[in-house]
Amino acid sequence: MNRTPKAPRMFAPRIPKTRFERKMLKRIPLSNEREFLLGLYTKHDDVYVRETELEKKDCKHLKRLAKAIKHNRGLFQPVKLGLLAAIAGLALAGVTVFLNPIVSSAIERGLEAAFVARSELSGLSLRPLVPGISFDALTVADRNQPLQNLFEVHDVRVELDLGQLIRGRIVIRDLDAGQLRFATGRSTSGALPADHPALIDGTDDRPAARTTLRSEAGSVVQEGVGQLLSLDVQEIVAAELSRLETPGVVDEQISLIRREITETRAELAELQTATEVFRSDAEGLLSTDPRTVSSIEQLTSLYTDTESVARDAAVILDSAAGVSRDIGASRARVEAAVDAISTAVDADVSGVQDRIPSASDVLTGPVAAFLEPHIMALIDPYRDTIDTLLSAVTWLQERSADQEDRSGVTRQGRTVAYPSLEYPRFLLERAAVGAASGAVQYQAELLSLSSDPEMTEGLPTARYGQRHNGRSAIVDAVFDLRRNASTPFDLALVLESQPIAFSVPNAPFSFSGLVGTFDLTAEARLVETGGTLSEELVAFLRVVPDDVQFVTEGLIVERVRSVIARAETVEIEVQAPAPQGEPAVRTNLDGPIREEIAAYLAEQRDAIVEQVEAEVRRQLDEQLSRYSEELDQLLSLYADLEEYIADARSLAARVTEQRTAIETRIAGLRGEVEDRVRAEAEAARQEAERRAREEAEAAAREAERRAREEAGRIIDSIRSPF
Amino acid sequence: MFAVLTRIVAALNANRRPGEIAGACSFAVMLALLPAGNLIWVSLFALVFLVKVNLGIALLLTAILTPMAVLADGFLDRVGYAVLTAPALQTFFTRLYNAPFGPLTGFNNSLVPGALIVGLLLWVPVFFLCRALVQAYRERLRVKIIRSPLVQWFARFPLVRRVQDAARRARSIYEWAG
Repeated sequence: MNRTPKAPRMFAPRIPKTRFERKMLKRIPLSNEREFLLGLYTKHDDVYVRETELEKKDCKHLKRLAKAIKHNRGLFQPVKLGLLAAIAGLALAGVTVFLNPIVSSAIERGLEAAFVARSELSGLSLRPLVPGISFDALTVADRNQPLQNLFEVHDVRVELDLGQLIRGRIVIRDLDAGQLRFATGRSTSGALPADHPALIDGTDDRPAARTTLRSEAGSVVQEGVGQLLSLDVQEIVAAELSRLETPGVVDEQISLIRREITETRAELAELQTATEVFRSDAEGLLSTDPRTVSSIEQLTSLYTDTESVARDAAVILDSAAGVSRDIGASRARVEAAVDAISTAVDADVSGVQDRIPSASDVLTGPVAAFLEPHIMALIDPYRDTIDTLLSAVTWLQERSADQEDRSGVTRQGRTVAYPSLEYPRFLLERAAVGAASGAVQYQAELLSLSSDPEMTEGLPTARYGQRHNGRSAIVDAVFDLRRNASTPFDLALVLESQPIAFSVPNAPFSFSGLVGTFDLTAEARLVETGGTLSEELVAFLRVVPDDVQFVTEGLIVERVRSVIARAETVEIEVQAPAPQGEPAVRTNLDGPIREEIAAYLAEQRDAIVEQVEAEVRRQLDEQLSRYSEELDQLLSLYADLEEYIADARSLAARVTEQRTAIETRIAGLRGEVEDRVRAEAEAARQEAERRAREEAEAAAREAERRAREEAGRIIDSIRSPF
Repeated sequence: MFAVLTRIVAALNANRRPGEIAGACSFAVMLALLPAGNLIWVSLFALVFLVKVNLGIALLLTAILTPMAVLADGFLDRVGYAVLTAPALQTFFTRLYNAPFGPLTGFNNSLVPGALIVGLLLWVPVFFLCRALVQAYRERLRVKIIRSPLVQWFARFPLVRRVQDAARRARSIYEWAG
């Protein structure tokens, strides 16, 4: 049977004009399709009317048109939108139904791998949109005791920062763990099956606790008061004698003086010989008195001999001057040697005194001396805890320091930065956990734990509190892990009404132990100084002793006991400047106890020092007497030498005087000779003049005679020319 | 590629609004200009799937225009940087920067706001231009092309027939999918 083709409901026989034009024609983009539709309907006033019967192909065409009109209606695709909504709904349902169990299982596996024991997590709730995790209970079994939990924690809530999580940073705003309990019982075994992955491949990447802050307890008890009371005088004397430096110095100086003596003796012998020769020469010369010599020849001969002796005297005097200079230098050396010995003796004596502790030295902290190891032992567990925390923070810091930011934009462009709070890769702003073990309540809080302390405003802070029967312990640790931080670590510790009981074997004053309670306020910090870290510890303890025990009784014990009884409390102050430095421990009992026993110890000490000094001086005296003998010899030689030198100088002076006398005499003789020669010359001159005169007169007379004779001859010739 | 081409041919000839193709072109221009890998690009890409635009044309044009967009990076950078550093907008951008999802949008990279602004400005003219072209094609060219002797001759080839069949099927799928 052929069914009559039916047009889609949209294309009713009568369609209002507005609807036909706006809702149908307008949504047919192709003109031929529009024409087809208009061909089926006829317009009448406000309505379009289909008057013709539809054929089968027209119906099919109208069906296509109806689909096209529906499709062209609206901007969005309702099917896809619906699909998207369905996917989102499914995802949300998946998160609600499946995510929590999946994450819960993952956490359990992680914990089992870490602790190698069964872990159970219940009531986990993840909040993806407002990031956060909370769970009702987490139990981790003890691998060594499967029917016991290592710990269990209840009501844990973690709040994360969504904005920073999107940026790839984990910022925990708050982590609150309601109750943490340790060593609780289990109804089922907590051991993992043998084929569990944690048992097959377990690696431990957790940081090892650092021990840099751990200090060695000092051995003050063996020193201090105990040392003074247990002194062995003979042993001290023997030890002190072996430490003396003076004998060595004396031996050295004696050998020096012996060398000086040998050299001085040689010089002395040489000078002595020369002086004797000079003396024999000079004596003969000096026995002649120049004034008695009248002959110039004799005087000249005497002068020549004197000159020769004077030259010998000059040589001897030069030699004597050299010897005198040597003596001066030798004296200086000997004086230096004497000073060295004196210094060595002083050093030895004062060393002996210094090495024997005085009462004031050992009594600076008589109580602190035997309390100090116990105080340090009291503080050390807390310091260990802080060490572990510090290690964890450093580990986190090192792990995250080298991570780099990644940019999401691949194409180049300029990135503009705006003011914003910069967070490190990991930041735990606050984590708090409460715990209980029996009647003891614990509370711990961690603040501002960051992978990059430079970017964190607050400093990482760990707080720990413990309360039990009115006793409380509060630890407040601040870590400054920023570069160039002046105080990288600062710890404050407050303990109240804590029990204290310790025994001290071999303590001074027969003290053997103490039982009581104490309050403690301590501050420990690491201080950066010139690139090195040093530890500073200041602690103040107030100990209320219930019982102070002594092994034996005696005078000193009675005095100490009375001081403690009067004080009622022992107040102790501990200062440790550096890990290797010895802690300075002071107590309020130090002064009174010091006053009580100072006199007694001073007497003891003085007696000991006196004995030691006497023995040391006796030993030194032997050495010094040997030295003294050698020195006397040398000084005697110096005296002889100086005597010879004086003698030589005296002889030389006499020779000089003799030469001067001869010179004077020679000068005197030279005047007489000159006068005599002048007189003889005058007489000769007068004689010559007289002779000349006589010869001239004779010549004149001869000439006159000859002239007369000539004249006579001439006259004769004239008178008788023929 | 063959399917995409047939879809494009079908879309051009189908009884669909020209605005679908025009919108696809406008969105393709924006997607090409915007650097990928940020929340704005992903959101825009998702929007393309949800609105009534021709997905084939949008994807094809995006693939073609993206390499060319690098040529406009200099201009986009200048525009974006000017906007990012405009004093009047500093408060807004600082808030956006500190908002949880702000950095995921990558808005502080100068190319992103530059491309977004230029893309939005181009969206309207591209839309109307493409719509006019599609309308012109359908009203003036479509019938002429189909009835031209060349196309008639060409349509006799088996390969072309296969294309026509595929286009017909695609068109029917289009219409079925509504």
